Amino acid sequence: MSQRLDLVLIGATSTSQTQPVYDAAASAIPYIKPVAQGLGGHIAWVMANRPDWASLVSAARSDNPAVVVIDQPTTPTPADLADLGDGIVPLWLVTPHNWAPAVATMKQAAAGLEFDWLEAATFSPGEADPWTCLFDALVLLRSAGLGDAAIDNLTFGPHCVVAEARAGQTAVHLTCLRGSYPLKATVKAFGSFGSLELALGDPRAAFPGEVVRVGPDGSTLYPTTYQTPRRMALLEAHALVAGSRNPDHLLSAYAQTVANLAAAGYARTQ
Amino acid sequence: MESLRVALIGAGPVAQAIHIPTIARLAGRCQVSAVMDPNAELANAVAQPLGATAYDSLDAMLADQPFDIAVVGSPDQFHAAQVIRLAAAKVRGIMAEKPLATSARQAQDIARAVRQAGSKLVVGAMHTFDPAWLALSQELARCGVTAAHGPFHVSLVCHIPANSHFEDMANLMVRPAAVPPAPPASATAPPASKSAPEPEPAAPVSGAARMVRHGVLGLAIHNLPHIRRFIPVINQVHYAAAVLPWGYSITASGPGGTADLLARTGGTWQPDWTLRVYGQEMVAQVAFPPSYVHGGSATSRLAIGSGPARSFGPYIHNGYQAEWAELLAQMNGKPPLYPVEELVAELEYALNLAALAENAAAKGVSQ
Repeated sequence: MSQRLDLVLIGATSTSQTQPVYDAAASAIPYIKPVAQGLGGHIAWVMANRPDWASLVSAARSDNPAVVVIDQPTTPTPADLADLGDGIVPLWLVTPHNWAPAVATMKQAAAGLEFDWLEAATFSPGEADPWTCLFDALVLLRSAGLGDAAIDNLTFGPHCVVAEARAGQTAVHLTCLRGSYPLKATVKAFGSFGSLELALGDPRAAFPGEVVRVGPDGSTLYPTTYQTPRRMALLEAHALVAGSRNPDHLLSAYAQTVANLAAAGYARTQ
Repeated sequence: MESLRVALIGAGPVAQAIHIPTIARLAGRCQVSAVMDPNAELANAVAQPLGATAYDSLDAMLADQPFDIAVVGSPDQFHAAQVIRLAAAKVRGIMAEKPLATSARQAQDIARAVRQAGSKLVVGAMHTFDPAWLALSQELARCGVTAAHGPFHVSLVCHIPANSHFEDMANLMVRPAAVPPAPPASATAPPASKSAPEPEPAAPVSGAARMVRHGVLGLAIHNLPHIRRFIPVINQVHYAAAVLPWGYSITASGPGGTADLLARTGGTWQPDWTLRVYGQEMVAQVAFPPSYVHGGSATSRLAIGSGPARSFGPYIHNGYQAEWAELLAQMNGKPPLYPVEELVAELEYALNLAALAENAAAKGVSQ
């Protein structure tokens, strides 16, 4: 029998901010029960889009939940990660797309392939900070098994950031747009084998992403599941309590991503 | 009605896989009567099935027979001299491949020549005639999309397989035998029938920088008129690099916004030739078919604010048919969709971007 878990939300500043988490937890995963904001749950879900998110995470962790989920943090710095350290309670990072099932599919499909050119385009709400958009894009690439991209060149436009980067031997071109556009993302990875492409929709909706591999011998469309990234994180949290291993999205797994962003010039001004 | 006589100048893939199939679809309004190429064997092979006469020089062709329309499909550096020569010979209609010329001065000479001669000039930038783009343009105008909807970010992505893949679907191609490596340039006299090309820049440029320049003038140029509509001036290239096996990555900007031009060709991958325009509360998109495809138009879409997106196409006619229809209509008195001054301005825009991108790539702001 599934264990019923309490989910506490921490750091939310508005109902609209919490709604996607409540929707994911309450409406579709009955064995996870959202409770009022505060401490004391099995799962501490930190709405981290605020400069003091790291201290909220520390406080949540001290209450010894099974896991602390860091939902869309203001761009982390190496100091944030150093302050938080490893600890016993796992810290999971949730960005718009890193838990999407299609991203995991992409990672499986990318294994063993060599890429020389990679393009990604991401879309964020108009109020999003450009560095956060960039961080989310780098996290997406890493989650998709495409490596940690070190940034060589940045161009800040009125509502976009364009980055040239390199992940190992792969040249990377990132375009991060902000505005009233559909929240989606695409990744196209090229190599001598052909191309491997990932298309993701709005992370608040469960419509599956799409992974396609195209080469001289034809193409393959990989099936994905109808799950939002947040639901995936919640399901994994439940599995963690039931004894499964930690998934790939520990905050510490993104240390190189955070370091790359700092090397590119990011430093929180606050 | 008597068919108009068409002369093809240059018998390579552009003539064979673009203009010959398109002329064939014009329901007898035009017929190819002459084919000129310095490679006489190629000219003969292309001309013979059409019942046309082959020539190995423009002078010989002009001296031998009259024609109504000339298609300039030669290498870029010959376009200007040939168009001017054709105008001087009072050829009524000229379909010139892009780029129209390799310098602004040449383009202005062309403008002067066609004005004086009264020749009608169309640049074969098929995407600018694509019905889906024209429908989108009308919708943009109807909805009052102006610079106020900017600043814009324009993304132009071109991931296409090798051209030969589509050429072979368009026609039974005649390809010349492989040519042995050319001797050093200093030992090679230019063919007598061809005008001298513009001098190359004196400064040495890397292969990557050259690829970027050729990428702008050979591939991105298809859609620079579209980008210019949203970003009328580009004054900075922030990044430019060659992408292997053949392509480019260019990030540019101007007062109207930013532009992101990406291309990768020469392999087998998911084809994608898409222009996307992001403004304030507005997104436009045009998905084009690859070059040499004769199966209908692009598709386009416009979304403004939270309203529903409007879609246009695909239409059964493509940009190649539309550019020919435009030339024929102009020869019958219709005002040009793109006047010659506009064609010159579009070329200047392309040359400026090519120079900026080449410089950026040469300076090593590149991979």
